[in-house]
Amino acid sequence: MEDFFDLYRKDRWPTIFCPGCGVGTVMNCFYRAFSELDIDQDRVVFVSGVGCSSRIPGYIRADSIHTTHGRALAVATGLSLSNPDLKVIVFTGDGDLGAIGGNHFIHSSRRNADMTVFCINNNIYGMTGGQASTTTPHRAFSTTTPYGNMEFPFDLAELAVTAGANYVARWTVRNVKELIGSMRKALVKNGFSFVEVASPCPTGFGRRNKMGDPKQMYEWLKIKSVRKEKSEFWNMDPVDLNISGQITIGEFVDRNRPSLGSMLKSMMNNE
Amino acid sequence: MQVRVDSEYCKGCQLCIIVCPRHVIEEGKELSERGYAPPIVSHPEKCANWKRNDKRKAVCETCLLTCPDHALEWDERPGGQQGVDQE
Repeated sequence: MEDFFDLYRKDRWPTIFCPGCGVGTVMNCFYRAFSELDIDQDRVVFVSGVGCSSRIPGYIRADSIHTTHGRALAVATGLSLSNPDLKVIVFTGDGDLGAIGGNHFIHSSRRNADMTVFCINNNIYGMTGGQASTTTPHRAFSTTTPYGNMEFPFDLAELAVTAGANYVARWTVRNVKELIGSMRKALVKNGFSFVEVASPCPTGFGRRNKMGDPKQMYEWLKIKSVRKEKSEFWNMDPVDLNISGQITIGEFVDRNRPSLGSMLKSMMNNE
Repeated sequence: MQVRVDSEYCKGCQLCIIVCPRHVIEEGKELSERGYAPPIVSHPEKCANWKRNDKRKAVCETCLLTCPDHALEWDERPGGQQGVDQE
């Protein structure tokens, strides 16, 4: 793959995303990681649910399934079990993965199903008009929380670590080089690999929190993120960090537990 | 080589300006056909890739990776020759 438009569809360009949206940055980073690995484009399936981030497979020149809201991981589990040769890549957002498909996410991590999940976390339901999602920070404003969000946000990466995923990392869109490295590792990993990207949403989230300019949202992401090494050095609890409106970034886990597909294969060979 | 802004794809979010560590790109004032103001490459000689002429060997590339609309691309001619028409 020499050119960017060998992977993406030039006839659908420019994209429908708002100016300053982080989804385009993730698409750039995914192209870099994917093109370096030399994976056959005909043996890859892209699965997505509903949301801004789930529109990415529509721009890719490969097979894709657009499923119902929150059910992307359930469909991807079925795909990887029915045809183990396929490489299943899921693009999803925080509302799709954390709120509506929350249970599918927990149990796909627990089963260690063979798939790569890229979650673009923009802290809000961007496509439907800026409602508060499970990852909206404490005291942030949105359409459904006009006096500030009373609830505390959900840490998707910590959840995946606890539930038993093989590879978990989280970066912001400012850390493009680290994000490419993590995506490359996640793509070659067997079992459930999960990369969360903290992304700006200037239209849905920023305008209601005095950050309507994409530049202000980037500054906010820089202030908001703490490196994992730094938080470990200061003995900071991830829940306490979440309450104060901060997130940890870095590689959380990298292990080689047997995946669901390989366990099933060994069971079938024994009988 | 230097970066070139494709005004057909650019949406004027100005993220390339704030992520560039060497301040190569500056805010533009003129509106494009689609009504956005694309940035201008004002100091291309400050770029880390100014003396390279192969995009596969480019370093940094933070602006290209950040641009959400793929509006930035490399002009592969060596530094100083981009403005000159080749006959």
